[in-house]
Amino acid sequence: MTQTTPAPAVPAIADPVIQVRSVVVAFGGLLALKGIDLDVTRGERLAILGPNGAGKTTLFNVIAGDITPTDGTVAIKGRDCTFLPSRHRPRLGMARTYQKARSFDGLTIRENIYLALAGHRGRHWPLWRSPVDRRLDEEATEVAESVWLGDHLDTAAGELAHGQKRQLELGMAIATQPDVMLLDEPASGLSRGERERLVELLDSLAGEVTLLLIEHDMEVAFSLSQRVVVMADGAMVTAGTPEQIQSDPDVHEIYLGVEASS
Amino acid sequence: MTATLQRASAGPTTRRRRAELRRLPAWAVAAAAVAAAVWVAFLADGTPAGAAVTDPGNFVVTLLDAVTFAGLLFVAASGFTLIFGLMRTVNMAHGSLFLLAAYVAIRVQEAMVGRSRNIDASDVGLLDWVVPMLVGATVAAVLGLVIQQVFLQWNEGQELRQALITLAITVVLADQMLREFGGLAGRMVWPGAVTHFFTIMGERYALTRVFMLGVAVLVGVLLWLWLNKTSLGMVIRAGVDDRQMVRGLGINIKRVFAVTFFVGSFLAGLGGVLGASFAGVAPGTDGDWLLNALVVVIIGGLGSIKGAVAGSLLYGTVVAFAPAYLPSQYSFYAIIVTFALLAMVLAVRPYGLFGRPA
Repeated sequence: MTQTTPAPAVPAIADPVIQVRSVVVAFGGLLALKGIDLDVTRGERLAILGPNGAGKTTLFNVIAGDITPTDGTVAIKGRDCTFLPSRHRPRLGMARTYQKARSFDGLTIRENIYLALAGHRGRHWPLWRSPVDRRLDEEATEVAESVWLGDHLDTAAGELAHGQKRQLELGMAIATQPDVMLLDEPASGLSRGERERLVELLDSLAGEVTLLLIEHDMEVAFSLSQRVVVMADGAMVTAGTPEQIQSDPDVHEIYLGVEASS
Repeated sequence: MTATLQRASAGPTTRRRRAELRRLPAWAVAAAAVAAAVWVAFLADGTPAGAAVTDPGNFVVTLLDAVTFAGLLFVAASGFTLIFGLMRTVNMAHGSLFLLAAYVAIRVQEAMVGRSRNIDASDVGLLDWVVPMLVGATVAAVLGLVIQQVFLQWNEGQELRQALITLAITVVLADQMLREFGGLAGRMVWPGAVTHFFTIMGERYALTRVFMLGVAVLVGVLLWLWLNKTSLGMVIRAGVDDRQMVRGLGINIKRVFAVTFFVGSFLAGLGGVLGASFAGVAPGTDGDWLLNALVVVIIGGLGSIKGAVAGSLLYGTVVAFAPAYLPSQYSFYAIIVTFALLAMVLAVRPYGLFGRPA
């Protein structure tokens, strides 16, 4: 059925922050992405939906620079970043989180966030801690409080509960004040209360922040996004507003198919 | 439609299988440790050292032997574990760097003292020991950095390939060192200021060994400060947990790798100079010390500095106590106790005392 539906044409938009052009990713013989086009405007809240194996995370990795695409180009803020390694992304104002909550388990929460700040500003070489570092420490404390981790500053990240790890991850992404955030399943494994908090937190981000999220939880996805893109089998199936997607029979079929087989 | 979708995979199955590795119950090891302690304390008559209650002097000397040797082991193994922890590179050339630094330091000391043989400790000032040590360790550090940049950097993540490359380098270096420095044993001379004996519990003991322990403690403290109190140390600890994410934060981890390899090789060199002063070096010492470093980090857990301390102490204890407290006619079999220790640690904690599954 994915073959019968042509990928939706990308409308020409003003001020694109991310431009993905016919990106193909092959892992050996497996085509993980079969030519993806995607434009994201400044300040847009975009959710990417799709069953497991649809290529959502691969697309994220391409945009974040963790994977160099086999073919196609990626531009961020008008600059061609197809071959730019991931470590240069933060300086372009981009931050990401990962599908499995990732943090530096051996470091405390303060250190985790401090490192996100230090990496962003290239402050990780000096041998001696200076007033600059003290200011970064203070900033880290503020960020920790904004993600409700202010009471756990000196706890090792490895000891956090799953939901708290997600909060920390988000804090590390927010710390650098990015204008583009890629969130890979931020709500996975969270309780209902934690999800509401997450939505509240993401809603509170400034309007000019561009937000891309992969989400399995439709409630979270639909409440946060203005536009939804549905992927299946490495291709884009359809795109539209949350309301359009909710009533799209094709989307139902994709998801029902997955649910029946799992 | 608005329901949360079920995730297809239930979770990483490999993790679960690992957790099910069969382990020896801890009480069995505790019982073995208690039995060994009781043996040493009360029952060890007829051994070279004698039971500790009847011959406390020998016991103290053996204990000092254990701790001081552990210091040397720690210096030699800490660089190895530092490199592995961050880069997952098993640097088989660690022993070669150890030996090369020793040879270079011996040469430099000979040049500084102005004699090539029969150097007497009283001719050696503190600087005549410290400067060769720094030169030797720096040579090892630079060579380590070159090896990392030329051979290992573009093989990141290919652990087996890296291990084979460094093994090949070991063979080449061993031959070249034989050509340059000859096949005779060389020895670094301790500075005259510490070449004394002091008396403890009626036994004479060499101050040089205590000096060696002091150097090791200093190295350990500096390493701890570097890793825990500086931003770069924080990056390295973060990299041990998750290299990809460090990159994602905008940090050039390749440069961090280079610094780590430099420091790790420097520590190998430092160990070499200490080892050359302690027991002398000869062709083959490189392999011995690679093995020693491996034993320490396998006991302590690969990649953990804390583990290197614990591993050194345990290994040092066994190396010192086994020959002294086995019945005299079995002293030759002391080496077996080392491997019994290794087997027991691995049976209880398959990743070493402080190790984590990679």
